[in-house]
Amino acid sequence: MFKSISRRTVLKGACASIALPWLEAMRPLSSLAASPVATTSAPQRLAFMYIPNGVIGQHWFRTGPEQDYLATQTLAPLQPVRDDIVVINGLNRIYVSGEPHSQAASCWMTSSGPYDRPDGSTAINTTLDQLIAREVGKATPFPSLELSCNSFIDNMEPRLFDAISWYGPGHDARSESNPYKVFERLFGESDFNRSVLDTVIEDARSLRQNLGQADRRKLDEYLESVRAIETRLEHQAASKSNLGQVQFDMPDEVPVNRGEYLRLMGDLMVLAFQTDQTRVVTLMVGPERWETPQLYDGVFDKPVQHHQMTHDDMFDEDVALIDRFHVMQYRYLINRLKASQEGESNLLDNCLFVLGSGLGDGNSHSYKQLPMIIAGRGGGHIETGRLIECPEGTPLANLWVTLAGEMGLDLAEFADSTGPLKEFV
Amino acid sequence: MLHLPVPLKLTLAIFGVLICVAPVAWWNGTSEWPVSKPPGVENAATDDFDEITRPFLENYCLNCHSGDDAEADLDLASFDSQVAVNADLETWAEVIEAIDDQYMPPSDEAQPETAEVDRLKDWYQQTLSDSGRTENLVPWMRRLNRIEYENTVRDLLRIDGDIFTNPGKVLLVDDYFQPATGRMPRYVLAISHFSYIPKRPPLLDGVGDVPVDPPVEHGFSNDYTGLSLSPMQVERYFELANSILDSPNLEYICDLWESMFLPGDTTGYDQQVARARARLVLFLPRAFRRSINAEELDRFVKLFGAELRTTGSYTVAMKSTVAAVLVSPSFLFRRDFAADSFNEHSVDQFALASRLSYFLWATMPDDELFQAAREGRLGTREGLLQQTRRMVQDKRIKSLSTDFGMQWLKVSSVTSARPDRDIYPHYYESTQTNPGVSMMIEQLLFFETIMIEDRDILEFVDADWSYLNRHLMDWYGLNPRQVAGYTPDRANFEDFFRIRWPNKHRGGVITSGATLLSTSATYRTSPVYRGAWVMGVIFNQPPPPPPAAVPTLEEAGQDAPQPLNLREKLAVHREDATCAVCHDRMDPLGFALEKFDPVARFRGQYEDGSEIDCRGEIYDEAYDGAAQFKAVISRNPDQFITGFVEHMLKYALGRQLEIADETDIRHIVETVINRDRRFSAVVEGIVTSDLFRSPPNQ
Repeated sequence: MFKSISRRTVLKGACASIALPWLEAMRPLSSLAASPVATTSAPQRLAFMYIPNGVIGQHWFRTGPEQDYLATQTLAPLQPVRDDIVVINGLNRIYVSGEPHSQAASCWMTSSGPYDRPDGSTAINTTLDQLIAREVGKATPFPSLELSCNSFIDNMEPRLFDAISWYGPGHDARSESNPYKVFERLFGESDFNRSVLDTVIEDARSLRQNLGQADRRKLDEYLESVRAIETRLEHQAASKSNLGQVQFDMPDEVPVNRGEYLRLMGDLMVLAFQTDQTRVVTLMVGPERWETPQLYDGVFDKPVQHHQMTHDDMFDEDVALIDRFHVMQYRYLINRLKASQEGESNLLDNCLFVLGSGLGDGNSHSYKQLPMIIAGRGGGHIETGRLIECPEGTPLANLWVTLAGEMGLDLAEFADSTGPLKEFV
Repeated sequence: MLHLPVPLKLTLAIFGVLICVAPVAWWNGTSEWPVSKPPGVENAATDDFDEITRPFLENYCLNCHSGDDAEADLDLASFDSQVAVNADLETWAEVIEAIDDQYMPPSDEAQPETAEVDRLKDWYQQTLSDSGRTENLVPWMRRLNRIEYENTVRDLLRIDGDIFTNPGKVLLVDDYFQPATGRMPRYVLAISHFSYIPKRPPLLDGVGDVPVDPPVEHGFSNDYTGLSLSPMQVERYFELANSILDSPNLEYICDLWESMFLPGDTTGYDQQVARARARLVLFLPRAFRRSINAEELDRFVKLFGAELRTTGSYTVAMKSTVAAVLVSPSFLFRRDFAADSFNEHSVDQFALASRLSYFLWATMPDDELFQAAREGRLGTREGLLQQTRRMVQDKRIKSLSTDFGMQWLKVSSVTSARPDRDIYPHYYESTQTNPGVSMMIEQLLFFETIMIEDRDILEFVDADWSYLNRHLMDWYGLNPRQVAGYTPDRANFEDFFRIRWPNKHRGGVITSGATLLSTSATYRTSPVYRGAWVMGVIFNQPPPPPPAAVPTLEEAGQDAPQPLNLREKLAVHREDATCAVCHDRMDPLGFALEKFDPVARFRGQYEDGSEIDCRGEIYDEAYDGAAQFKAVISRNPDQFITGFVEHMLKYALGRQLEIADETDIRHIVETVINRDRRFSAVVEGIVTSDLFRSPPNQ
C-alpha cells in the first residue's frame, strides 16, 4: 500500500518542515513484532535536551512560593504548554574536584564524578541514556541517537566538553551535528556489502587472538560497532519499503542562526521518533565552555560568546535572554511532538522530554539548583502541569532512577541516588 | 647481548611470558646508546623519606593538605611512608612540580629554604629511579585519526593530493614548500593560490569528510585516549571506503589504478584470482604497515573470489576487496606502539618505521622506509637517523607543521574568532579574507621556516623576522616602506613576504596575531586566557581548571567605590587564596601582552584613554611590556625548551607524558641544548630516545 510513494529528499532553502500527517503505520514492522504490547500501546520514548554553561537562576526560578513558577522571565514562554510539562526545582549533583565545565556536560547523565584511568584518560561512567538504550534500543534500528548543534570544528577543545552521552569509560557516543548526515543515516539507503562485513569481522576476530587485554577492549569497540551495523541492517530490511517515503525539507546549508539550527535538529529528532527509528535521543544544544561566538537570532544582532558572558556579571540579563531563547526552542519541539498524532493520542503523550543543564549557576560553576523541566506524559500516567519543589539536597540521580524506571529499566542504585523521585510519578 | 627495553625485561621476569624474539636484534647498533637504568633492588629512598620528606610535609604542607577537608582534596598526610609514595607517584609528580615552581606553599605561608627544596627533589628523583616504573596497563592499539586516515588512504592508493575536505587545516597551494633546499623563499605568492580548506571541494568526487577527532585536554588529536570508535564512526568509515572506491574519478588520479584494479591480460576466474592474489601480496603489507600472514592473505583473496563470481568484473571485485581493506581493523588501527610479535620477522622494525612515518609525516611509511625496515637498517643509530634526515627533507614533512605545529600553537581557534562588529568593524572590511586567516598563514609560515631552515627553536619565543602580507602590515600598523624585505612592486595584498620587524614587541609566536586574537574575548582582551596560553603552550604547564563554586571575577570587585579596570578587578580576584594560587602566575603573563588589543593591534593606552600597566616578573626578573617579557624568557630558556620537547614528544608518542618519561625528556633536552637548540635536534633527540624506539610492551 505504500508503493505509490517514492523516496524523495527535497532540498530547498526553506525552513525545515515535516510532511504531515505522518502515517502511524509507517513504523518499522520489526519493532512492532519485537514488542508484544506494541499493537495496543505505543512505545515509550525518552529525549534529553542539554543546555551548556548553566542558567541565570534569578530569572529561571520563582522568587518565592507566592509567585507562579512559570511567571519568571525565562520560563514565561512555557505558559502555553503549561499543561504538558512538569517543572522540577531543587535538584543537585555531586562535583568532583576538576574542570567544572567538562564534568558538567560529560557527567550530567551519570551523576557521578569523572575519574582518571591508568592510561591517562578521563573515565566517564555509562550515561543514563545508554543504559536505557541497551534495553529499549533492541527494538529499533538505532538503539539511540545523539545529536548536537555544534557545527564548529575547533580542534583545540576536548570531547569531554562536547559529549553528554557515553557508552562507558573512554568511549563516547559521538554526536552528529550535520542535519544532512542525520537524515541520510536514518533514511538513506544503506550501502553495506555483506561479504565485506563478514570479511572484516573475521579479520577482527583473528587479530583479537593476538592482542593483550587492553587492546582487546579497544578492538571490541570496533567489533561492537560492526555488529551494530549488522543489527541495523536486519531491522531496516524489515521496514525498507516504509522508510523510502520520508519527506523532509532541508535548508541548503547548516543554519548559522541558532534557532533555525536547533529547530532543524529537533525536527529530525521528532521524525526519528515518529518512524520509530529510535526511542532514545539526546540533543546537545552546544558544547560547554567553547568560546565560539554564536548568533542567537532574534535576541542579539551579532554573534556572542555564551560562556564568556556567563562569567561577567555585566551580561547577566543577556545570558538570561539566551536561556529564554533555549526555552523557546524547547517549547517549539514540545509542540511538534504534540502535533504528531499517534493512535488515539500524540507523540508527546508517549514521550518524556527533558530540558536541563549540568550546571545550576554558570558563573560560579555551581552544581546545585539545577534547571530541570520534563515534558510529556510518559504513556499517559505522568501528571503534568505542576511544579515539584524538591527537599534540600535531593540528588539529580533520583530523577534519573525514576526516568529509567519509566523506560522499563529497574535501577536499584544509580550514582548518589537515595531512591526514586516519588513526586514525579 | 640482546638489549631489551626495560619494560619487556620486566614483563619477562615477572610474568615469565614467553615472547618470540625477532631474529633481528632490537638494537644492535654500533654506537653508544644511553642504557636504561635497571630496576633498583636496594631502595635508597626509604631512609630519606623519614629524614627529608616527612619533616618537609609537616613543616610546609600538612597545615592545609591533610584530613578529610584537605585543600584541593589533596591529603598529604596519607603519605606516611615511602611505600605510600611509591604507590601514587602521579600525585607526587604534581606535588613536586608545585613546589619546584614555587607555586606551593602559597606566598603567605612559611617558605622552605632552597636547600630543603633541593633535598626533596633529590629524594624524589631517587624515588623515581628506584621505582623502575613503567606504565603497562594501557591499550597501545589506536585508531588512525582523521588526518592520518586521509593521508594513509592517499599514499596507499598513490593519489596525488588531499582526498577529503578537511576543515580546520590551513593550506597554501603553492610550491613554496621545498624542505630539501633548507630554505624558505623570500616571498610566497598567494594570488588565488591559497584557499582556506573548508571551501575546497574534495579531490575525489562524491567523497565526504572524515569524522572529527577532538584532542584530549592539553594533548593532540592523535592522543589515543581520545580515539574511541562509536558505531556512528564505524558506519562512516564503511561509507567512506565505499565512496572512495566508487568515486567516478578515482581511476584518473589513482596511480595504482592499472596495476591494481584492471585485470590486464588475465581472463577467466582462476587466472584473475591468481592475479589478484599476486597483487594483494604486495598491497596488504603496505595497507597494514607490517608483514602479513597466509591466513590474512587467503581471507582477502577469498573475498575477491566471491565478489568476482557475483559480479563477473575484476575491477568491481577488486574495489570491494580494497574497500574491505580500508575498514579492516589492521588498516584502521595503528599497532606500532605494541612491540608484540605478530610475525616472527622484523616486526619491531616495521613498527618503528610506522611510528617514524606517523610522527614525521602523519602517514604510512613510503617504499624506501619499508625497505629499510625489511633490511633491518633502522636497528642502528646511523640507519635510523639516515631515514629521519631523508624524511625531514621530503615534502610530507609539512604535516609536522600543519598538524603538530598548528595544534601546538592552538592556531585553529582563530577560525572561530568573531570580534565584536560594533567595536572592531574594520576586522570585517575585506570581503576576501579577514585578518584572522592571514594571521593563521603567518603562523604557519613562521613555523615552517624554523622547521625547514633548522633554526634555533628559541626564535619561537622571539624573532626579528616573520612572513607578512600587505593586509597584515596595515593591520599591525606598520608602514610598508619601513618594513625591510617587503617589495611593493610585487604588491598583491595577499602575497606574503619574509620581513624584518621594525620593532621589538612583535616577533615570535607569543605576540603573533593568531595568538593575540584567539585568546581574546569578542569585546575585550583576556589577560587570563593569554596567561593560560603562555603557561600551556610556551612552558607546557597549563594551569589547573578553575574550581567550582568560588566567587567570580566580577563579584569580587562589587564593593569597590568606583569601577575597577581589568587589572584591578583581577587583583581583587587574587585576594581570594583559592584563586591566587593560579592567577598569581597566570595574570602577569597575560598582562605583559596587554598593549595588544583583542584584534592584535598595538595600542598605547586603553580605549578610554587610561594607562596600560604591562609590568610583571618572571624568573626573578622584572619586565614591562611584551619586548622585555620575551627577552626575559629568552635569557632563561630551559623551561621553554623543555616545554617544546614535551609537546613534540606527546605528539610523537600520541599520548600524555608520565613520570616514568622524565629521564628521557631530560636527556633529549640536554641534546637540544648541546646542539644550539636546532629544530632538528628536537626531532632527532625524540626519534633516537628510548621512549620512541622501544615503547613499553603491555
